[in-house]
Amino acid sequence: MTFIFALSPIIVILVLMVGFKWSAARAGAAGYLWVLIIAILFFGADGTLLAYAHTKALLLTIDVLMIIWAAFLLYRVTDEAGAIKTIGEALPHLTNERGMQALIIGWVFATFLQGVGGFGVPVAVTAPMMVGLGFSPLAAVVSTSIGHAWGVTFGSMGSSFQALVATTDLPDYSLAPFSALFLGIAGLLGGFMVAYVCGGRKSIQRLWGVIVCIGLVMGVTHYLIAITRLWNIATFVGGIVGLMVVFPLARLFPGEKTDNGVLKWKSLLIALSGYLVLVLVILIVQVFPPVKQLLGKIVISINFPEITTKGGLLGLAPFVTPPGPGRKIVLFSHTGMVLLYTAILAYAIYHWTGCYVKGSERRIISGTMKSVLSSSVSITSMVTMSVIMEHVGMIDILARSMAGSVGGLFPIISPWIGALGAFITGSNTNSNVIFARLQMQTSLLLQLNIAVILAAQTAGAALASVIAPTKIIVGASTAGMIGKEGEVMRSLLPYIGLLVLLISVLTGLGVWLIP
Amino acid sequence: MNIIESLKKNKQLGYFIAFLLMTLPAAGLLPAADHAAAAWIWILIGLVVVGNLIALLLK
Repeated sequence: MTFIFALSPIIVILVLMVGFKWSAARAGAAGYLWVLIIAILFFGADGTLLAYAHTKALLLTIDVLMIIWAAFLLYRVTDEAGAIKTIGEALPHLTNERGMQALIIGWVFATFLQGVGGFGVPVAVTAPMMVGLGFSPLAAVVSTSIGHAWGVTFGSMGSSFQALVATTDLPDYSLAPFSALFLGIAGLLGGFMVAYVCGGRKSIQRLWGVIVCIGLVMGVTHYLIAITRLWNIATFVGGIVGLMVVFPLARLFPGEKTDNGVLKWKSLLIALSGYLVLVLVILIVQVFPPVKQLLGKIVISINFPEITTKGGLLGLAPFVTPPGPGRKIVLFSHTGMVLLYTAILAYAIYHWTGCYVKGSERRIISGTMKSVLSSSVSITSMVTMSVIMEHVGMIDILARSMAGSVGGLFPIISPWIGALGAFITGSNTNSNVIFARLQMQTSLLLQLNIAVILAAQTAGAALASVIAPTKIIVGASTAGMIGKEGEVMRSLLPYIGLLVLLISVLTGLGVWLIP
Repeated sequence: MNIIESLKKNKQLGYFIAFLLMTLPAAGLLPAADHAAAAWIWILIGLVVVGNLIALLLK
């Protein structure tokens, strides 16, 4: 009975989102209200406990939302200037070979877009481009969805990884290596899948060397950037380096000559300047000690006392949360602020070079607001739900039950839990918020390597986030497949299933090799 | 009822109000808890609940 009550908030969200097709914002609110009721009635939460839990949740929410808001603002600043369109139009100039085009747009460029934007943008931008080049709409949506999935955790300026760090309160440098390693390997396999979806076995036979080369370059770059604590740009830099490698490689596969028009180099350089600013700002903030010191002066940190439940209708023993600081936010060097500085500088450059037309500023602000409001609501309610669950012992109960029932098989199951969370909520970030503590506590009980298990959580969530109904609807609608979302999902499932299975194997190996 | 209906028509405004109600009262919960002001705690949690109820009603 205790287990069912502890699991019920997650079940509520799952049923409402999958069964009743509710949005994440509505389902999150329902989950929050449900957890509040059962926490008070059955788990002995009193006003003081709920007050501290809400405050802790607010800190976590701010930590995650600062990145999401600023990342979207930066995306809108560049998109409104026509930068994304310009870069996209330049890509077909590289080659007319179909397989190479699929790899460049569906894999490398989609990864780059995930690095800078995310939020469904990669498929929404690249799928119509591929359809325009003559690929079938289904192949376009499926290949671009697979192509960028590996970059989700460290994409969107690292907002999903930030959620993992914030929720578990573990240092980023301990979590980044395995997460980046697992996703990098999945990215390489993803490249083969993109080639297969767009050109079958022949495409793989012809381009396997190119796929290995690009996959290794992107994966290794992604890994190295992530472990040097610049994880918020790991996918972005991986994508940029991938694009740089693709240029010479594409010359080896020119394909049949067709008229692609004239490449406008000046426009391309201006378009890329916004992203160059991003790299520069991040390097200045992270690498130069005086700047880092100056920006690190204002820190939001709150010390919380010991919090105990007071018993409830289930008659459970009091659950104690030890005293300690909540999430620490270093205000002016926070990734969200870094993105804000970049957005302002990028805006100045695009404005100075005449990229904006009348009303652009209004569209940037309104577009950002429109895009972030509903996700802000869903993240706030789900984070609060998760923190209350943790403070009344629900997560502890779930972890103990899971450890007892699946035992040694837990590492194999771990990525599927993350995948389930992302499938339900449509977001790697939300999955990490809901399940990361559970995964961490279960691995503690089973004495497994926590970093490996949390890497499995976020990698499984990243890969499965692309088959979430909300993402599929966006992808299908932009490629002209409205009403055929089921077909897209059916086509995507085996590929994503295979990728999550790969993460299961890697997790099993990881905990076996590194106890 | 009219307020809910108008928020349903203007979902962005609805989300904005819901978000404010979910976050602003939560900021007041720490001093309330530190001073053991039980009445304030429940009033503020009540406002957070209202914010979630608004989000729940926005179809």
